[in-house]
Amino acid sequence: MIAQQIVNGLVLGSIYALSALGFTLIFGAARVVNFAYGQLLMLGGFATLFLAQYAGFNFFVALPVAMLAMAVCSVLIYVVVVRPVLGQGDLAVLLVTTGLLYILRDGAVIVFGTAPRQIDMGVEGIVEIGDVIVTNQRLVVVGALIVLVVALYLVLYRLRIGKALRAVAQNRAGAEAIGLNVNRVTAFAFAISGALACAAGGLLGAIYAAEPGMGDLPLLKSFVIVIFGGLGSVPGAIVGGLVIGMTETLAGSYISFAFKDVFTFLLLIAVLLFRPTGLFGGKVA
Amino acid sequence: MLEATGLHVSYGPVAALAGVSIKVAKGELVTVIGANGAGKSTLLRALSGLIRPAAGQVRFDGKETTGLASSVLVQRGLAMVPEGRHVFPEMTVSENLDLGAYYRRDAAAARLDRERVFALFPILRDRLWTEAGRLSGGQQQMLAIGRALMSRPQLLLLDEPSLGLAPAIVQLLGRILRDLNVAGVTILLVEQNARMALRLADRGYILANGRIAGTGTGEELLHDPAVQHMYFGSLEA
Repeated sequence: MIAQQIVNGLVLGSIYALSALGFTLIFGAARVVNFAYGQLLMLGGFATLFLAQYAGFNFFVALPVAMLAMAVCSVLIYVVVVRPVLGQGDLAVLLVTTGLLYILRDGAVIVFGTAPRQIDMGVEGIVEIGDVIVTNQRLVVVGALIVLVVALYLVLYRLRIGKALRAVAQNRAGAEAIGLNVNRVTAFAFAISGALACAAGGLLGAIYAAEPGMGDLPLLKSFVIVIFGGLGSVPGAIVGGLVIGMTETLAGSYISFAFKDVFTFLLLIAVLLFRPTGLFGGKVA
Repeated sequence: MLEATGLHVSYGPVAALAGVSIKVAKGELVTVIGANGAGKSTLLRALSGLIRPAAGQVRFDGKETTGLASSVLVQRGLAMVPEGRHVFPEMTVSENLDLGAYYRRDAAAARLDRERVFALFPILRDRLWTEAGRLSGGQQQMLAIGRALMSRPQLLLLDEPSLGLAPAIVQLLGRILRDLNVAGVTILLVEQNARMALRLADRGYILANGRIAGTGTGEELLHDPAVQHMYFGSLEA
């Protein structure tokens, strides 16, 4: 029973980790809290849904294509909505991205309707290890986290622009002084962020369902995870996502399903009390 | 090599630079000295493309560069060592140096320049795989200079490199800047440590309240009674 719940927690945690990664990257690179982030996840879910269900692509083709589309979409959000108000204070960014949140979500209600629709992954069957039962679909979710984390590390540590992104995140003034193009790097961070949000949305749509409100909870959870793991920290988002997913699942099944979120926030309060910069938070003020 | 005419920069209602003109010829080591808040950092930021002056003109290497971004200027051969070093703390010394060469396509030549940086600052080679955040202040300053040199600049701008460093390290840095200059790098050095800067420099400018208050050779300014009174106290010979 407990092993089963740990596996379930790992699956939920993988989706949390993916969505938190995209959220933390933008914060790290641009110090921007993107409230419309959950809607990118939702749009990514629908993009995957339409590519898989209506355009007839295999899920494993549909998801990467949708990720690419959402990367572009996220850059557009940066250029059109966020960049014009950068430098006018955090409140301005908060307001425009919150405005975008409502436009996108209510727009999705009008266009797609409110009925939840599951994405067909085309993966059947289960795996049994001892008395633990996992559907292959859920294994795909964990696999996707592993693949995308490896890809993300390759991008951040091997690609030139990825190194520039880390430089901007670590010391913006230093990056500007040596002539790194902070604007371009920020746009790149938005692109990666959109792709990761889409991955989380597509997987969530396959495990549960795609619907216009599907991005709300992941946004809130990403917030918690990113504060828990350390603002802007990549390992913090991964570990934080897995820990929070695990906590919710275990608390939900052993203590009270209705109060599972309480334990997440208790954990958050504990981290803030004893380690205010988050588990992996460094010198971020 | 670098010529600024009538630069004006304001932060809100406060004028940081009120019509500053300076000139740095090829091969020179020029210093701008001045008290805290005189506008020294603002001047360097305007010259290196980090802020856009409200009025005035900057010419670098014979072409107008007013308002061009630092990413463009770095590729044209102007590198900046910012005040407070600003190295990338969670990257190794090696990665910091690589980022200095960000725009270069000539990997082989960049490797040679890396060797040159190590020749100037052997400690950087010893600590190549250390995270920059773990270096001492002096080592971080060396890394910041080395990182700037990796773009192979013709003109190096330094903002208060001696700030917060022990006197022995300041002396060492001074010698290294002199060597760099002899090796052909034109240098514009902004300093509060007037004595160190004027001893090194061919020429100097005194910046006060956003204006040029005096100019002369390093030697002249060092023995100028007004400068002596202002910076060294009246007992200084």
